[in-house]
Amino acid sequence: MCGTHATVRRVLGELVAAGDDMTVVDMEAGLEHLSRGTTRGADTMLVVAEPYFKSLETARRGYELAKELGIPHVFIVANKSRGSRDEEAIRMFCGRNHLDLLATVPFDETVLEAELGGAAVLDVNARTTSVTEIQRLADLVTTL
Amino acid sequence: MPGNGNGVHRVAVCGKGGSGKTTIAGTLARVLARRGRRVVAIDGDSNPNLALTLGLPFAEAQRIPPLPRDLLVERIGPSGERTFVLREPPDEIIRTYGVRTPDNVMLLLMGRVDHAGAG
Repeated sequence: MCGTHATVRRVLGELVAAGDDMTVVDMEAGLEHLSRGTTRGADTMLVVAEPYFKSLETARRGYELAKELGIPHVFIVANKSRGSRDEEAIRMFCGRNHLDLLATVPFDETVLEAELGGAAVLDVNARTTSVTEIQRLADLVTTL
Repeated sequence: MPGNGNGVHRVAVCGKGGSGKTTIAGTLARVLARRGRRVVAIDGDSNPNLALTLGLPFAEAQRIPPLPRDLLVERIGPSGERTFVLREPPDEIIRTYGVRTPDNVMLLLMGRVDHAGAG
């Protein structure tokens, strides 16, 4: 176990200062960190998936690894959904594989616009569709 | 509230590159902070995108120092077991290395960190 991974785990587990109430960790891309147990210190794992088979399949593996690690709350958060057909496909996939789907964030041009300009979507438009759904996600996460 | 005895909820966001996990993690952190939560965001992906999503300008995002490589020190327990502990208390680490972003989310960058004797 070396370097970054050991440290992320320790930091997740211990880097909690007096007065904080939430820690949000943007994990390294991919699932390697999960197989090494890096995220064992998390209370909640959100596995982000796009609505196409390979992405959903990767998310399923991540979800199952997180469960095996004993993370108490594990959810799929679908992203870049382009409408009812995507939503249905995500729901079907999650249902079939017994994955708990917490939120479905819509595809949102504002996110692309923000990325092009090196800005944050929240600063470009705080009421855009993706932000609205992330607000709902925040409601759900805070009631866990 | 889930927890570790401190009442702190630790949320990890993972996904493939390009899935939008950073946008979701960063926006979630800001939404929570705007509701009055005290939020620490940790960038475990060593790219400046989380900082941008949290509302920092690019030039500023690039200047954030990562956590030092020797943040952890090794301790040998009474029965010889090796453990790693943080060199400084968490409050101190956040005060020293954390960057306050526009919605008051404190950002920490993992970067390439290491500890002595890591193999």
